[in-house]
Amino acid sequence: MMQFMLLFSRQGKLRLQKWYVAHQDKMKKKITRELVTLVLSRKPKMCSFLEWKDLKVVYKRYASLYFCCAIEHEDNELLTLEIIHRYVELLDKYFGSVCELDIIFNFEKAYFMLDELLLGGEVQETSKKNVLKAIAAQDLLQEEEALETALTEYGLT
Amino acid sequence: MSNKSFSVLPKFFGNLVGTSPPTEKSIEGISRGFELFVQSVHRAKNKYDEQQIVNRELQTIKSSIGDASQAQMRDYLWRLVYARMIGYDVEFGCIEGAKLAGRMDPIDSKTGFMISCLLMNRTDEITLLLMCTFQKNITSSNLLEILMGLSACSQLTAVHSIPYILDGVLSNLKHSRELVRQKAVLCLHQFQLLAPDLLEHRQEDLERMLYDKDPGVMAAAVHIIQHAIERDPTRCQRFGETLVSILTQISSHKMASMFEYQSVPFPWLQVQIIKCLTKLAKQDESFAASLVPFLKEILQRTSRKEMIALSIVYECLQCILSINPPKHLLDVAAVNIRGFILSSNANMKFIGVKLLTMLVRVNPKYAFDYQQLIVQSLDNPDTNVQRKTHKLLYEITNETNVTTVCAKLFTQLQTSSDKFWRSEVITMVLNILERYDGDVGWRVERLFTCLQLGNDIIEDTTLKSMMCLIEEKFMLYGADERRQKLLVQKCVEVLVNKNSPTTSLHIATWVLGELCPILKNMPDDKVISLFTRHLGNEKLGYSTQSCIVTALQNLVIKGVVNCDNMSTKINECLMEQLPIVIKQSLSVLLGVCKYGLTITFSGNIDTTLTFLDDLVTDDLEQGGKAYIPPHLRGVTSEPEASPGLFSGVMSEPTGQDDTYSSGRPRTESNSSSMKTAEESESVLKVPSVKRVWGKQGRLDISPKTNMETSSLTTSVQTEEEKRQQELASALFGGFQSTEENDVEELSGFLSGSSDTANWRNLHTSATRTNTIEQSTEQSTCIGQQDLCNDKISDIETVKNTAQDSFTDNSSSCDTGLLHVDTEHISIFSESETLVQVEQKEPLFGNGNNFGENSLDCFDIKDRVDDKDKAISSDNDLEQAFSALFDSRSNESKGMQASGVDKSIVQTEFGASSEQITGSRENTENGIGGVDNNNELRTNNSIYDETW
Repeated sequence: MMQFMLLFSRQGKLRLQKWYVAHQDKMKKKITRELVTLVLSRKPKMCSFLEWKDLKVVYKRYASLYFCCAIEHEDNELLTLEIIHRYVELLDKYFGSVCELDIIFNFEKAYFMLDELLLGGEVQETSKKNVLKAIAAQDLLQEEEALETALTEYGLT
Repeated sequence: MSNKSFSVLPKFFGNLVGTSPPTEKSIEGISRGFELFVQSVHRAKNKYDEQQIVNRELQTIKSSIGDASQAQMRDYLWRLVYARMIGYDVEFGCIEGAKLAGRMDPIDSKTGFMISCLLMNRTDEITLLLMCTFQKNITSSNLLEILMGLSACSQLTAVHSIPYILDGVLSNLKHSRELVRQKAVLCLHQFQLLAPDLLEHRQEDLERMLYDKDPGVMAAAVHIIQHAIERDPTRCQRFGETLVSILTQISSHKMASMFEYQSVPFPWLQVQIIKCLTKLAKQDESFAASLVPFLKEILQRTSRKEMIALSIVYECLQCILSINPPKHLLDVAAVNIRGFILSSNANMKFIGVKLLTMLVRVNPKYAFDYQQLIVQSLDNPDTNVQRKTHKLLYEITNETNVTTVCAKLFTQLQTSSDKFWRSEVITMVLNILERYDGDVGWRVERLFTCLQLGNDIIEDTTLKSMMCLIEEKFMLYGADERRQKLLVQKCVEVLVNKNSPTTSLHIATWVLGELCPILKNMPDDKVISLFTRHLGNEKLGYSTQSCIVTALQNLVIKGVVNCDNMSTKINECLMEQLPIVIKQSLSVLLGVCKYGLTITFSGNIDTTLTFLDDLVTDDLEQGGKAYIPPHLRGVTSEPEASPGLFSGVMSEPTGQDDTYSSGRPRTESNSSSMKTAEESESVLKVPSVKRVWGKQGRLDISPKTNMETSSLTTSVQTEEEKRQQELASALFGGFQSTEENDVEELSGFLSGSSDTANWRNLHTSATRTNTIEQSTEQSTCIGQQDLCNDKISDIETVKNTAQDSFTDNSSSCDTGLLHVDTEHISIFSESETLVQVEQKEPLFGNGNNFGENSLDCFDIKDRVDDKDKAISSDNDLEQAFSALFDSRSNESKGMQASGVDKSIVQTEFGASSEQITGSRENTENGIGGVDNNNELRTNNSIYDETW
């Protein structure tokens, strides 16, 4: 089971965090800090797996963004790497060649997508199409509502 | 100045935009306000600025969130999530998030749930606010609401509130839509993880979901099954077949293409199922056996093109390595692992090393093929790879390389700063020390080094296991007194040293307390002050202090010190500042001294239990079974148990049939081999020969030139490579040494052969040759014919002789022989490679029998030196070497035949030693192996004539 997922930039700025286990805020901050430093200190040619405390850390860098997952000891590292990849694919498909800024400014979308992909740290929907469909449906709802609100604001309804 | 204006901007704009209706941007989910907030945070020059900006923003949100519209609310809350992410406390937002989740509007509700998930923990009390919403959502008729409710409640339900919504979630298992069922199953899986017993009564229903018609639901149910297997594997045997059939269906592409990823069908589920199967197979041997062809098929069927397929292969290999696989499957696994290891991708390589660690745990000889790689990885700049490789080293530890492995582990202990890793290293070192009964002095030394280096991280449990180790090895009744003395010596040393770390002191005082009779010859006041001087040490914890007091008590009770001396010393101690409890026990001790209460050990223990004689005879007369001591029981049941004495991996007696069940070399004791070493040394006492090779390596270097010139012609190696090769030979010496032969019987044999070759100049002692020839004469004649018949076995024996001579050398310390030796090694390795390609099996069929008799009891350094010379002389040789191991590792059948007739062994030896000398010149240049064989044969016949 995945314990948490972190997205951070090359400068070490956190872009997204999702925790599947309950930790106190202080603990979360500590873990994040340690892990970010650790991952950033690694050279590009090194392997993407780390054994960190009693967890395994799988990270991958896409452009300026690091995707970093902590998994339990018996989980499959290669598979986790692919989960990350799938997530990036999804983001890419949705935003159209995703960049760090997309995630910064649309990070709720990134969260929604992650939520569709993983539930409670386990892969739930592996089909790219299905995930995107779910997000699209949600967008549609939001759009309608936005229109409605706009109309109400201008007194047109 | 500019800084200030920037920090003002976001607030200004934020409010402005926040209060105005969302612009067209809101369709994309972001408002202008959010964007500006993020931008200004981004622009902040320093932490202080950032704090200012964020705090101001939070203040604004706090004041206006109460009467914000829906869209605004969402926007505010996302800002809070962002603030929270960059490390600010936004607790006030939680309640708003919960409120938002309860709204009717699906977007609001969804956002609310999402935000609640991000802002709250399962353990927070505020999640109680959401319970009502959950209940409403999961029983709703709206599909969307149910889905949202399920995913949120799986994340946010506290353990104690699960019962309130459990029924609702369970009823969703029968929902008509597969998405709902899937989410419900995953949600229940979460609950199971939180409270395993809670769903016991509905376990049946949950497991039935495995047979759901929708693959997605079925995939989710595999989690449930996995959990059930983890809890009680015996109960879950029935799922084995179902899982196998599911996996077969998936891997034969029977699932909809929707479930394919990179054209690999349902990889996630495949991995998950293999994991379940692994767990089941661990419990059930017969099931594991039935899995064998299946696993092989998966390995064959899975492509190697896609990354995701490799993860299936990886999982599959892990499964294979954990179920005691038969030889053929293990070989398939080894080939696959090779693919990983040799990959240029760092990730694959890492996985490869990891798998190799598992593989060598099953059968250490597979490590051979990767000597170079392993040695290189030890210095990999990536500490992670380094660590993995050290773990691998730990797995391949045997009697021969234990010193080197320990040294490597200690280097890690010294250099690494990672607490987790260091404590892991300490555990490994302790295990090694427990397993291998090497030199006692060395062991004691290591134990205390371990304590010293790991002072800051050693915990009580580790300390305890260390004490158990010492107790087992040194203190049990009948323990070797020499060992005890060594230990006591070291402990006294530790106590005398002022800078000893606390953990060492703890162990040392404890040991001395237990073994205090050994201190009897020391002056009283010295003994006492040994302990009391540490009593006032503030760094020591209470446990160590009480250890000291116990030791003092022991001194008195066992009559080691005079009571009066003790009383005066204790009185001195009582003046100092000590914890009250310690003082208390000291005064008790004072009382003991006063009355001179000691336990005198009479020494007249009836060890043979004569008082039971009548009883035993009566019983025997009535037909009872005679008592067989435990150490003899094994012998009667397993006549081939003797190889257990011999160290090393190749000769492991577990090699019965084709399987390698236990894998780990856990040989009991090395003491017998020690004995032989001593004996062989005593046999070969030749006063005229100068001692050049000591246990620690070479004592004198001058006569080495001969060897060096020959190697110089080919060697173009850097220092680094040489160093690595030295290490490799040190580490893998153990594997090779297992091929070595019975030193005692065939000692010095090689000198005879070297004489027949043109190496007379290297040979220093003629007398020695004579004696040796005498000893080998007998054996050589018998086996001569057989050997001539079979060229291949000839070569095999050459190898053995070469190695034998090795051992011989290290014990006899003959200068000249060493060169012969190394040459031999290179020869055999080359000739080996040349032949082994086609005929692996027969080639080593005989050879491994020898391994059974191997005794490796010499200091590793001797071997290191020898071997590394042989190796470093030529790169090709190195390859040949590894190829040799390769072929040998393929061969394992011969290994079991431990009870081989010794005379045959000897004769083969005799013959081969002859051949080797003849073949030397040929092989040195690395020319054809066939010629080589002919050469050998002719040599052999010459030899015949000579005799």
